[in-house]
Amino acid sequence: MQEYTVEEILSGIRDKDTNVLDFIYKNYYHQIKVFITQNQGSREDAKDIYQDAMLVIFQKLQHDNLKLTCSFNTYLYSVSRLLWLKQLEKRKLWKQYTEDAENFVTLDESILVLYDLNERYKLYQTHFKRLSFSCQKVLELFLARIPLKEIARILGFKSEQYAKKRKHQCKEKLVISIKNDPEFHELSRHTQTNKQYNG
Amino acid sequence: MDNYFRIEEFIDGNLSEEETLKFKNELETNPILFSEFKMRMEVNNAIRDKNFTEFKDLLRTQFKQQSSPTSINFQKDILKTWHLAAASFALIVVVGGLWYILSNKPYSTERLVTKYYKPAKSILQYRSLELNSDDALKEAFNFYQQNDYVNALKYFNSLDNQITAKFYSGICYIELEQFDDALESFEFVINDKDNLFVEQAEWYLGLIYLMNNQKSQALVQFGKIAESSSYYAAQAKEILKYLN
Repeated sequence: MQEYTVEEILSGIRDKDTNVLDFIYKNYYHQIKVFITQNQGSREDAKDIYQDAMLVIFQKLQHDNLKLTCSFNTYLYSVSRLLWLKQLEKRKLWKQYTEDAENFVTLDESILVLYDLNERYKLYQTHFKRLSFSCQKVLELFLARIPLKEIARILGFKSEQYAKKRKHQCKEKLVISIKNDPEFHELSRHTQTNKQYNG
Repeated sequence: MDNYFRIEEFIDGNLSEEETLKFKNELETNPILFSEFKMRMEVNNAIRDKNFTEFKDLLRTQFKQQSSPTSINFQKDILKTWHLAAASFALIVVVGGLWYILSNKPYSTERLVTKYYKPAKSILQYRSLELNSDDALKEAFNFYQQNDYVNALKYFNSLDNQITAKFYSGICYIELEQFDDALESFEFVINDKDNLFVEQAEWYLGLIYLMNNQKSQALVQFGKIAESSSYYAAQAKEILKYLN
């Protein structure tokens, strides 16, 4: 299998390069799985945490200029570890955590902030996908800054005003659906009471 | 005007100057209003953030493939996003042109092409016939999504000078290697100025110059993009590095 430098791995994640993603999975996932399954977690948990950690790193690369002072393996492990500790706290299993022998680095607050944001994004997208086809398209086109006149033309609405009205109706429908989901309130509560688990 | 509607109008930039100022002041002093505003902004960003969705889906696909090793190739064929499939197709189409231009560079041509040329994604994915939508545009995108650029073009061109249609006709022409026609489409979009596709059209214009072996025009075009605040500025700088 081809080897990659840290820079190539980060750039591969940023570019969604499937070869790099396969490389990361094949080389680094096992260590994360061992840590989680030895600390009250299942294989399914390990899979979720790995994906969440990768998603956090991906988002960090989109927003910041991420420069690592450790190997990518150590960084990914540290992010996964932090996210799993957060899960243990959420499940009130924090006391059963056994200190791990692997190397990890102290991470800044932005990791948990991004993780929380990602969780909310996932929830919003789930509810968005439950909207009617027509509502999804109105919102997508509107947020892509397509002029209302063109949205009306594309979606066959009778007027610009109607396109605007539909946009508002669809957005309200989406917001209500999100607010009615208990997970939304759970996520909001967790965001406010975030703790640090580093080191 | 109720508060929710006012928040949306503020986000969409529809409030008057006076109303905007008043709203901003309220945001600073009313935490409930601020929290509602923040949530609604996040919802918009979540819908808009296609990168996030694509990456999430890629990771999920990766796990599915790993848990079923015998079906890797089959699943890869089916599950890879249209975006990646289109990029691969693009590789075949344009590899010759870019190779000619960049053959004296040590950097892998294959990587350059996959990195820099990808046909624009369709803004619509029509899966329903229940809408009373524009038939021609609907048909055009249906063909476009199937990579049937000849038929897509027929429908895009039937829409006269509609900007969306014009932009996508440019992509079709690239795929059909009719670069002069593609140039004309993108120039039309750029000259219109007030539309969503200008930055993309400028980018494709540069790539067409490369494909057409018009190196000096490509240098000018990518130079212009690199110095702007375009989404493609960083990639334009990279291309300039290889061209110079």
